[in-house]
Amino acid sequence: MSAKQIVKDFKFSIIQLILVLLISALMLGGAFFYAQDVEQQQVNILQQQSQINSDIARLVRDDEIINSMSGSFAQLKSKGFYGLEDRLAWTEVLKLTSEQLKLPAFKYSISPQKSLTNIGSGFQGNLGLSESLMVIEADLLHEGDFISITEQLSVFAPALFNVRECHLEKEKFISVLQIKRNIGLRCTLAWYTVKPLLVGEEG
Amino acid sequence: MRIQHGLYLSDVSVIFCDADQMGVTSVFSYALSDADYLEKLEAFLRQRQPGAFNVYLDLMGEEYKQESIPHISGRDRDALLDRKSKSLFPSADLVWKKHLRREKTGRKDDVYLLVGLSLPSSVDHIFDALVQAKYQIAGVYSLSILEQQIHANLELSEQSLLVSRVLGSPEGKRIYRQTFFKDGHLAMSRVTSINGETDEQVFSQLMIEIERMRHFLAGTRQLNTANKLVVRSAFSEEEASRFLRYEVNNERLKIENIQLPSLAKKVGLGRTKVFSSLAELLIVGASQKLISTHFKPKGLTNVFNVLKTKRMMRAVTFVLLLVSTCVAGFVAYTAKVKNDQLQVLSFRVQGLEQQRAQLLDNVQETEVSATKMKQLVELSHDISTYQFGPDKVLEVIARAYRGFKYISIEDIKWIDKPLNQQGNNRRHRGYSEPFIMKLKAARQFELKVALPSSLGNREILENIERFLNALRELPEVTDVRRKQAALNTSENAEMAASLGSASSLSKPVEFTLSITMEL
Repeated sequence: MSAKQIVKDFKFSIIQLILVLLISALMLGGAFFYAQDVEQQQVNILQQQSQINSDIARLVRDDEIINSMSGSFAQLKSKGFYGLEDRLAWTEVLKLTSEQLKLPAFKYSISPQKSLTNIGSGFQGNLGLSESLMVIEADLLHEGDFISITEQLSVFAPALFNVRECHLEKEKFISVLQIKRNIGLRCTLAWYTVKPLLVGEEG
Repeated sequence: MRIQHGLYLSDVSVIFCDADQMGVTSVFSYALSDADYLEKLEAFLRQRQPGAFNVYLDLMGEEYKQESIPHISGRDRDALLDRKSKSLFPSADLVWKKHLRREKTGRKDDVYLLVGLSLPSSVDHIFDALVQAKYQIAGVYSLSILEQQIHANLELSEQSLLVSRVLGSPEGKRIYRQTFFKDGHLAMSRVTSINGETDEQVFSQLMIEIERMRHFLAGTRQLNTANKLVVRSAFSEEEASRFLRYEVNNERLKIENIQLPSLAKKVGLGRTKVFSSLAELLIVGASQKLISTHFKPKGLTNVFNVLKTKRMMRAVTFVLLLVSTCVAGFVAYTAKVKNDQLQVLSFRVQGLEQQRAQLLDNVQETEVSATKMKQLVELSHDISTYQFGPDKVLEVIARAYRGFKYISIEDIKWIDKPLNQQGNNRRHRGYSEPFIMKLKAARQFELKVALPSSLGNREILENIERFLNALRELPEVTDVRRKQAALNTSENAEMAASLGSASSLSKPVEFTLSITMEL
C-alpha cells in the first residue's frame, strides 16, 4: 500500500487523532498549569505562615524577656556593667577602702582595656564585652581585709570582676596589737564591662 | 475481534457459513462445477452483507517442503525465504512458512516448513470478485495448516495419517483429506475424491487410498516402514462408528478414531457439542481462537486491514481522549480542592498577620534588643557566680580547716590558668578558649600549710591526711593533691634527719596542697 493510499484511507482518522492529541495536550497542559500555580501559591502561603509564626514567636519571646529581665538589666546598667568603663571610680573605691581599713601599704595598677569577641555559644560576638586587669598589692592585718576590699569593690565600683590570680602570704610573725603587715596580698582582678553600641552597630 | 462468518472454498464447492460457539451453520453452498457459481455467490454476498469474514481453503493443490537455511534474521531471512519459496513453488499463488527447529550440528541451520498453494481458477475468480466488491476479508486459512496447528493436542506419534472429510461433496462422491505428520510436524497432505454411495464402496476405496498414500510415503522415504502407520480418522460420530465397523486387514496400519467433541474440548472449544467434520472444528477454532492468517493475498485483506486499523485508531483516539480527560479532571479537581484549602489557610495567615501587627504595635521600647538583654543578664550572672572571690574561697577552705589546731595556713594562691589548659597547651595552641568556658572552668588553688615538728612525723602525717580528707569531702572541691612535702615517707623517697638536742626541732614542717574547686 502506497503512502498516498495510506493518507487517503486514514485521512479522517489521522485528523481525528491529531485533534484529540491537541485537545488532550491543551486539557492536560491547562490542568497541570493550574495545579502548578496552586502548588506555588501553597508554597508561598506556607512560607509566609512560617515567617509570621516565627515573627510572632520571636516577638512574644522578646516581650517575655523584656518583662522578666528589664529589671535585672536596669540593675546592670546602674551597676555599670553595661556602660563605658569608669576606672576612676574603681580607684576612688580602692582609695576609700584603703583608708577605711587603714592598710599600711596599698598599690594598684590597671592595664589597658581589651575587647573580648569569643564569648561562647549563645552569645553574639559583637556584644561589646571588654576586660581590664587590675593588680592590687597590699599589706593586710588579716585575710578579712581582702574580703572587705573585694566586697567594697563589688558594691561600690562600677562593673563586675572576678579574681584572676591571687597570692595571700602570711608573715612569719603575726602581731594583733599593732597595725603591721601580717598578710601580704598580690591579686589580679579581671573587670568586665559591656560597651553600649552606637546606633546601627547592633546586629 | 472474533470473525463470525467464513467462506469455505474446496476444489468442488463454495460454502458460506456462520461460525460461532454453537458450531458451523452453512447458509450458502454451491458447486463450483456449476457455471453461475460466481454470480450466485456475489448475489448472496450483496444480499447478506456479512461484514468481515474469513476464507478457508481446503484445496488439493498444496505442496510441502522442509528447508534448511542459514541462521540469519530480519530482512535477510525474509528475502532468503521468499527466494526459496519462489524456487520451490514457482507456480504457487500463496506461500506459508513456519520455523520448525534449529539443527544442533553442522552449520546449525534453521529448518522451515514451507507450504505452497496453487489456486484453481475457480477460486482465483472468487478472489478477484471479493477484491472487486471490497469485501472485508479478515484472514485466509489453509485447512491442512490448521490441522497442523491443532495436531499438538493429539497424542504424539512418530508417523500418523489424519483422515478427514472435505465439506460440500457432490452427490455420489465423498472427498477425503489425508494429512501425514512425521514426528508431529506436517509433512504432506492430499485430497482424495471417492466415488460411491454405500459405506462398503466408499470405505474400501478409502482404505485403498490410504494404502496408496502409505506406499507413496514409503517410496519417498518419509515413512519408517519398520513401524506401523497410525491412521487417525476424524469423522463425525456417526461416520466414525460406521468406519470402525469396517474390517481392516492391513497389519502395517493402526487405525484410531479421534472423537471430535473430545478434540474440541482439548482445543478449548468445549461448548460446541456437534461437529459434522474436522473441517467444521477447524473453522470454529480459527474464528474463536484468533489464529493469525496463513496467507495475505494481494489486495484481498486490504479492506479489512484498513477498517481494522481505523477501528484501532478510533479506539486509541477515544482512549486517549478519555484518559486525558480523566487525568486532567483529576489533576484539576485535586488542585481545586487544594485551592479551597489554601483559601482557608490564607484567612488563617491574615489572622496571624493581624496578630503580628498588634504585637509589633505593642513592642516595648528598650535600649538594647531583648536577645542582647538576655545575653547581658546571663553573662553578668555567670561572672558573678564564677567570681572565685575570697569570701567564697576562704569559706570553703575554712569549713575543712575547722578543728585542725596544729595546722597553720601559710599561703593561699589562686592559679590563673583553668585546669583544662594546664598540661594541654599543645592542643590549645592557636585556639582561643571561649570566655564563658574559661570562666566556668574548675580553678586551681595552692595551699601552703605548716605543722610544728614537735608533733612527731607520724602525727604530722596523720593530721595532713585528715586535712586532705576533710577537703575532699567538700562538695566544691573536686580534687586535692599533696604537691610538695617536707616529710615524705613513701618507699621511693630518701629520708634523712638530725636527731638530738642540736637539731632544729622548732622548725615547722611544710606541705603544699593543690586544690581544685568548682563553684
